[in-house]
Amino acid sequence: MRKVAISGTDNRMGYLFIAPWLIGFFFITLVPMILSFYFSFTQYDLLSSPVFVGFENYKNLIINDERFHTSLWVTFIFVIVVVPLRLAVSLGIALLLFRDPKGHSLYKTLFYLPSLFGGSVAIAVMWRQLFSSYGPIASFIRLFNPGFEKSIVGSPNTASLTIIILLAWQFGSTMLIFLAGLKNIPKVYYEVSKIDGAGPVTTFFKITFPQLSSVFFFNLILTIINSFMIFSQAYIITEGGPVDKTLYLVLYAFKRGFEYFQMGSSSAITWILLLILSAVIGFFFANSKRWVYYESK
Amino acid sequence: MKANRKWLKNIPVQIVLILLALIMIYPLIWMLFGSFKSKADFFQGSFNLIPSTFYWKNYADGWAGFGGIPFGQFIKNSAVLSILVTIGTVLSSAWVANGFARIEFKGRKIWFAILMVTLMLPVQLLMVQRYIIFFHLKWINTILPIVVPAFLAYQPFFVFLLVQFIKTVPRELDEAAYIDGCSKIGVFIKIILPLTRPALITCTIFAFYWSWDDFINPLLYLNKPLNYTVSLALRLFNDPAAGSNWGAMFAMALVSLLPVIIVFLMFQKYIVEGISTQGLKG
Amino acid sequence: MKKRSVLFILLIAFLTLPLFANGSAESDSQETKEEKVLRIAWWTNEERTKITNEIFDLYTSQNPGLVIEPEFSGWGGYWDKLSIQAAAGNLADIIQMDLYGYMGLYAGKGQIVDLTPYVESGLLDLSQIDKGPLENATIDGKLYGVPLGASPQAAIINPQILEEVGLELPKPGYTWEDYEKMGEVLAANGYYLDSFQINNLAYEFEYYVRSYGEEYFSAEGSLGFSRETLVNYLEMKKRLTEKKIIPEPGILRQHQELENSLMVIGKAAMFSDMWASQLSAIESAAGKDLVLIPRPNGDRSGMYNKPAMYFSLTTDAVNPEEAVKFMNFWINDPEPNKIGTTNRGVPCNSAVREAIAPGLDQQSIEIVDYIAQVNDMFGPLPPNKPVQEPEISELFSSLVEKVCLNMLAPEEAADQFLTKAEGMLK
Repeated sequence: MRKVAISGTDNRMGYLFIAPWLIGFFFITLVPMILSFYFSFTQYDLLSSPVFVGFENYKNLIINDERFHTSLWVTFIFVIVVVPLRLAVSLGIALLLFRDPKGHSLYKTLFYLPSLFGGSVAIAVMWRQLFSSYGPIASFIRLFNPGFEKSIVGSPNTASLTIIILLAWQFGSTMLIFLAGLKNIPKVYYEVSKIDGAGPVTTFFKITFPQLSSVFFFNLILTIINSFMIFSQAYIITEGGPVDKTLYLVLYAFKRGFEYFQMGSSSAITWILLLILSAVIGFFFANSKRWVYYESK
Repeated sequence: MKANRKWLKNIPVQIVLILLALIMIYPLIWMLFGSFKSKADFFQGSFNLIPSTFYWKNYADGWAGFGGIPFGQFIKNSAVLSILVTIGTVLSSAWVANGFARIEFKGRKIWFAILMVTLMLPVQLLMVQRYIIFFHLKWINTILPIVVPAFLAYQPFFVFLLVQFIKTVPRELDEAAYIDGCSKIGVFIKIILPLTRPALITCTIFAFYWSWDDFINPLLYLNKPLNYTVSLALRLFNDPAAGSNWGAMFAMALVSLLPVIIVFLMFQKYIVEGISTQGLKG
Repeated sequence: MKKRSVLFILLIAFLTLPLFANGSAESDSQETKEEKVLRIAWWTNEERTKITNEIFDLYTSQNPGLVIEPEFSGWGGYWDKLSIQAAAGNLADIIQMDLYGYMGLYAGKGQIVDLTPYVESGLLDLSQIDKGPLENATIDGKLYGVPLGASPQAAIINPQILEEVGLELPKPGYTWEDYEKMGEVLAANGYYLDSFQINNLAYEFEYYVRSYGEEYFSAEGSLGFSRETLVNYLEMKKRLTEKKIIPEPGILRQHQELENSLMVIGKAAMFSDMWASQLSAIESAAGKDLVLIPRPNGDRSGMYNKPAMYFSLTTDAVNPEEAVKFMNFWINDPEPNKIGTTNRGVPCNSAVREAIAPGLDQQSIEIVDYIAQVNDMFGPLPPNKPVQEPEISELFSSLVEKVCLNMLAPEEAADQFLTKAEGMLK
């Protein structure tokens, strides 16, 4: 009897546990979501009632709007660079810190600190200075290329790079999640592996990675989502410029909604983004069964 | 001998860590020095790290606050909000995550997929609709629009994170507890919560900081200057047309980081104690 | 141990909740006492917050039973918040309004109301107020705001740099050609001439077309300039950038903050696209004595004296009469203006201007003198702009940037701009 209760379904308890989220979902997410979906088929300037226009917004964005195409392109490039970079950096550092080297607690704090600045005005001022033509990065480049006097943050070819570096620099939260994951691996497994005489590489692929895979999967999904939704850093440092090279999708949607008062086409951008993201995330979820290891099904 | 070899093996690790730490910390040092720069010293079209003279007045100016409200008041407001939001977020997210990770029920997969979809919605574009809802509930000008959602696990990030962690807890432990006569709630409290402590601590750190850093919700929902939070106050130093007091802003940006750092330092040491030290003992 | 930490958390929760319960109870009691509440929203900075609160205190001390609830925020976020409040129908009674970009929009959408009835009933006295700013706040015969102060367009120049390279201060009436020649001398000495604001290029262009008798947008809301003027402007920008008379866009982007602008740090001689009211901020940032001069002429001057800020009454106002009384106090009574002086521009009421003149600080005096000196150069205000203006202006900035970066020829950029902007205006 008991055995059934453990592995069988239990609707009452299941819904009891997810109830808070369900209430919140219906109450503050679902209605705004439906409204935003409706807005995407209207012309809506926030200050007067929305007017239904059918697929007009989607059609305009996809066929006519060159800025939207640019925005899609720069966002894709951004995601493709940031995701592996940030994951590699934070996993690498987490592995270094996991062995508790001398001063690990201090390092952990130092590595997490930059994440605490988020997309604040202070960070914007600093980043524009660091990557200016007179900043330390430019000075460093001048060691190899004495004629260099461009502004890194202000030039079309390199502006997006500065935002990429910022996100890589703020790897603290991803690192902490990796660390928590590493700490969660039962030590017994390592002891067994040692007795078996496995080297560090074998141990990593036989023990660490499979055990960490669910956390890795989480970080992968989250990094993808957050990179697609990059907003505040670009809003405050480069404001989408120069020549739209950092006009990422959410920033463009925000501008359309709150600066150009076109909430309709702004919502349409959001729903296109959602569609793209669901496809990408869906792809990873579908593939996850092959390499993500869970204790429970 | 053995200790010596271990130490030697650690040298490259330490070198990498020290180099990295320097890169990570450099901008922060720049900010710290910036908070001591006078108006004339702050920008000079060159990248000066160290101020020509230490200008302590930035701290006094910043601490004086705005419109007769001292900066300390903003810190207090932020602290109260962030504590409530953190408690709400961690408790409700763990509770909900346990449902998704440990209990089989009809519709679980669908609801989880919906949870994942909500993770992909840019909040900036739901805020008008949310504002209208809270306005009709007469919640504007109170902390309810900020605190109540936290108790309803409205940040799917935390639920998803905890689901991933709960799934790594060996199932045998639950089964043993059931055999001992535990209920599902009992297993959640006695097994799941203690064994996912590193993840819960991580959530606490993030929830506290995100709430502390949140700009848009306090901007929309707290109209009275007396209730303004740090994130709102920091923007008041900055006026693109009439000039900004950068020194004071940097000073207060650093001061307002202290609570966040304290929370981090208080909690981060518990991340170390995972399942390895606790779970299999009891 | 665990129980204790749970208790601790609960304790904090119980300790902190009453803080907010008190806060809300307070506001409830205010309403039950039948005190009238006036909500006023404005964008602010350190100085403005202080003086505005002083004016509120002055007013409430004269009007017992009235409570003013200030809602201030920085410029960043102010308009976002306002548009969301408007969507919900929860705007403050009085909102500080910007003439271009916002007043027409808010009026057109019925978010702010016509003040004419209050003028007719005598609650609002406009007899002493300058006509120009009132005309601009009048849309289809309805008055949508009272002007709090005006600030004329100006260039701000650093006389020390000019002296160093052997140039004289340009005389009013100097032209774009003189401007360029001045720049050549400065560039030869390693200085930039002009350090304008990269995000404001459309506004610089607006001045340029006005200096040739055209407008950025016509009164009908279509583009108000010829292709030729646009091409001339773009070619000038390209030429000036090539000659290093103005910095390339990337450099301007890294010097965005006013305090870090090339003018303030002493690498450029002037700001050609400023408002006179910005003199004090720029002087204090630069720590130097700077001079207000008019902007360069085309075949005439394109300058105007812009009402810097208005107060508008919203549709959502709970106490419109109280709000109008307060507006009347602000624009007609000398006392609040003695506190505010020129923080929101030079007051638009002649009697008030006389009353506050003795108490003005040095920089305000310079502004008043400047206005007296170039008064006949000011033309009429530009017509209100269409709602598509922000998007069109951003397109414009982006195209100028491409021209200066040699990514696009001026002729091509002009064609692209005209086609796209006209498409948006349809």
